[in-house]
Amino acid sequence: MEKIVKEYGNKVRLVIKFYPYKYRDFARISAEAALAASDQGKFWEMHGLLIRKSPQLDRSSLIGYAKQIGLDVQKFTLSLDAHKNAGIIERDLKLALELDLFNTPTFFINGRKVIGNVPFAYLKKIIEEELNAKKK
Amino acid sequence: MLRKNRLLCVALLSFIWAIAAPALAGQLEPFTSVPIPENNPQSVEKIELGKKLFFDRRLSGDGTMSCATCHVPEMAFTDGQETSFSYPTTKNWRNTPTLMYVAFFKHLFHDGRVTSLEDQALFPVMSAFEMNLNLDYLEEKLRVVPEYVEAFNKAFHGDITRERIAMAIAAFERTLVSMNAPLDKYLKGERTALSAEARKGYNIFINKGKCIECHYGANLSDDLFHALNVPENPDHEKDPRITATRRFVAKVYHYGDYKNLTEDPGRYLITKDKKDWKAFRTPTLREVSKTAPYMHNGSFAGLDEVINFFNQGGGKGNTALKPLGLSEEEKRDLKTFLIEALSGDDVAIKYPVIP
Amino acid sequence: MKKALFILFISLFLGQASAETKRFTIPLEGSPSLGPQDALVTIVEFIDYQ
Repeated sequence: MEKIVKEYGNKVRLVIKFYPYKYRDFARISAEAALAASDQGKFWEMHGLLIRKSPQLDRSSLIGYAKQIGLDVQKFTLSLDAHKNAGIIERDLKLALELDLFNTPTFFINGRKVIGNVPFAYLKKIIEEELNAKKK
Repeated sequence: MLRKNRLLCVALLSFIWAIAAPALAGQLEPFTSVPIPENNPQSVEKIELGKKLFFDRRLSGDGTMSCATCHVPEMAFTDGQETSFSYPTTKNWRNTPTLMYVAFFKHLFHDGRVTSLEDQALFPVMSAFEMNLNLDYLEEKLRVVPEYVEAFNKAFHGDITRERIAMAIAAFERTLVSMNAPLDKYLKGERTALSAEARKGYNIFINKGKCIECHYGANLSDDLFHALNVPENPDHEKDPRITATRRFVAKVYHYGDYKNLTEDPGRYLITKDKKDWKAFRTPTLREVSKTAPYMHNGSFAGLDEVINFFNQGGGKGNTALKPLGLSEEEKRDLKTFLIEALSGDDVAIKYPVIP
Repeated sequence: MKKALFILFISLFLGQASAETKRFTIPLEGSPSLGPQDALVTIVEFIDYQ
């Protein structure tokens, strides 16, 4: 995703939705961590860290990451334990199920569904198509 | 007066056709019904269960993949990639075949190593570079899920076993056909089902293009193996992960020199018959417009490349094909036929709730 | 926002006219995002960190 932002800058808008898999133990808590970081204005730093550090996404590791990116650790931990952002995650999960998504990641590029860990070149091709279509 | 003449014409043509027909390798047939084996009759419970399993990521070692990961319904049950998606850190070496009309195949996989859908179903589950899950463990994974215990009881009146898992998935796969393909309507007599260009393309398909020599029957495949010598993808040769997969598969099939193998030997690995070197199963052409990229290694991005390949007589050194001498217009009409005639209604899948 | 919806509508319409590219409309409010609201291309990613 960082590659995409680097290449296309202002022409692209990236939106993240959460679809934690029921049977991955840390899927949900790491989504909560991302949103807790977002509340403190550092979503993308946490987002990148979570992706790099996966699967070390247990509670203590997450608190460590919060510290690493300079968050208010107490506030972060409270948010995590109180499931402050469960609402957003539930909402995204419900949406994913309504859309019949069965795999992560699933992308929607201007609404076009792309399923799975597709190579960057594949995503790029579709982004280019959309950019060209819009330029007309 | 005119009607009588026409009847006479039809009678004459049918007579000629009846005589000529046996001379053809095979004919195109409209889709009528799906072949169902006696040892695994369809039932609603089986199909629903098979559908759940098909979309359930539990069937992979790390929970990231299900059958649907590579066989995406919206993409005619392929994944749009040159080589299939694979287990994290690995890379697959072959292209995902479509599951549309898969019930019509006797041989499954590009190398035809199994001869029933039931035998095929669990192969990717246990494959180290695909879903990578131990089958003994799979049985236990499902046995602790009450919804699956109940579903298997309803469908099979018994315990969850790997054989039944395969049977359920196969039962679901047998429902994957598309209705109302223009070709079927055309073959059943509706002349206007194909546009003028597509009709020209159809004629090329069954005559000058000689496609029908291997692509015949209801699913447009002879279910046999031919070495067309599709060029190897140089990136695959250099990619260490694909090299690992290539060597691994060759080793598993007891190919002595697997450590030095640089190309895909196809069915040879299974039969060890010289004539099967680089031979791959004739794919179906049903829904072909949606199953790009093409060939066993996905090296042709579009139908233009495919048609040009066949027009030039196939790959270097192959003995199966001869150059066709198609004009640009003929190639265009053939492509129009392939795109127009072979796509039916989308398969309506009601996505299952995975327990 | 209206502009985005308009573009989406138009692209949906165009989508029908061209090679039947199916497009989904995804509600985006409340989700973390990067980039301008009126960007030419919007990418929504459903993600599982583990």
